[in-house]
Amino acid sequence: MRKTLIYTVVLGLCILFGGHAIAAEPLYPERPTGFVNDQAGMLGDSDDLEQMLSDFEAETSNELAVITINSLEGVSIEEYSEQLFQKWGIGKAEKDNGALLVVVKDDREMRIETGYGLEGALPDALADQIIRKEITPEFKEGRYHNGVKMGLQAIMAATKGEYNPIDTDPESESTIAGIVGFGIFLLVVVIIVVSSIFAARATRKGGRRGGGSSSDDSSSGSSWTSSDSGSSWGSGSSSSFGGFSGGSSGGGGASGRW
Amino acid sequence: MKKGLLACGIIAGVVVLIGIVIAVFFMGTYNTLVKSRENVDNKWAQVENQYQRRADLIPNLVNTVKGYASHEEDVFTEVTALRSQWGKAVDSGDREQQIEAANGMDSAISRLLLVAESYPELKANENFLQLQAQLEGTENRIAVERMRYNDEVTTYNKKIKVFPTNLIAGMFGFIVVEYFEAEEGSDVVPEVTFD
Repeated sequence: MRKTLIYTVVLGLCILFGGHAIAAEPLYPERPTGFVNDQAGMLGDSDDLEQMLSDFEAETSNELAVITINSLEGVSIEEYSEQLFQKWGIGKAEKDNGALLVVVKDDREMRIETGYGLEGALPDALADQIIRKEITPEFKEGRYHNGVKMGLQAIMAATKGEYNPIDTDPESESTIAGIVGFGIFLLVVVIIVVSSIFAARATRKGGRRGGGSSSDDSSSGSSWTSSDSGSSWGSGSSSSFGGFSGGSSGGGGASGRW
Repeated sequence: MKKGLLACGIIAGVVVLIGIVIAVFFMGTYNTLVKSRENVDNKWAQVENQYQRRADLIPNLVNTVKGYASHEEDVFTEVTALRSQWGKAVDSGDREQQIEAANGMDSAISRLLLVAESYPELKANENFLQLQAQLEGTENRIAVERMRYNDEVTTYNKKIKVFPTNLIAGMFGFIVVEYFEAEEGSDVVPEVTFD
């Protein structure tokens, strides 16, 4: 009897925690692991691509990202690309100069999603041409790494040095904050005035009460650095990827199949 | 004597304070509503932009298809007519009219593209392929901007319906905004008969 109980408990725990290990990669990964996110394992050793895009970003501030996935799981590639683009915020926030190349292995579909800021340099027709002429021929031969490389090079050539800064107005909550702050200030003044009136009347005890709040809020010991040390697949890159910079896309770009 | 004066002073102070708080609330809420409505208008302008972009593609599209299917007069006339209808709707500034015209353009372009399907030479034409890419790109942008517009409308409508904000909304004439909904049956591709 006892043994059965123990076995059941152990089994239960295994299912509980084992299930996590079996769980597949999420469709929309929370954070990018780098400029290149080869979830479907199509690109082999992609360090060269990662370096290329990293250098490009350093040089032009444009952020190009690549992701390969196994399946869209029923979502359209347009919707997927737009959602992921917005989630990761590809491109600099003020410039929206990002682009995302999505490759879906099982569905044999791909898409270039263009940020608002790159729409001038990389219009839809050009993105479509890049897909048809640079990437598709390589993909048809199964040369995924090379196809992606050529596609990225074409995109970089199109956008090099050409970005249109888009001035997105930051939501200024400062006005509301100002009003609230003023209100609190008034309240404090009133309290001080009222209490000083009472204090003036109560001349019995001259001394103040023991010193004010002595709570020293020292910052907590656990410093929560957001380095992606957990997800660096031993790729050898010393710097962990910090993520993209909050750029936005309006749905521009082109899709294709191979 | 002193006590009475002090009490009066405090009561007056509290009343003034309450008055200030209410005024601040009014001001804050009104400003929030104004900003929210601006956001909605801004998002609508984006939707308009994308439809305009699509309308601008139509002349080129018609010319390219005409090169291969010159006798398909009906679709050409129809799509051109609906394009001018869109132009008029934009000038009028009436949002409902614009939505109707936009939906009309939707179906007309679908019909034109359907016609193009039966001309393989046209489908291989580089110019046409580029136009198709542009059209698809624009369609996608329209879908995205409409979604964002609707999201913004939801935020705004919620704000003006919730208590106590709805009181101020009513006072200053903030009304509910319509969603941008697809026309009934616009997802059904019409039959094209060749007679």
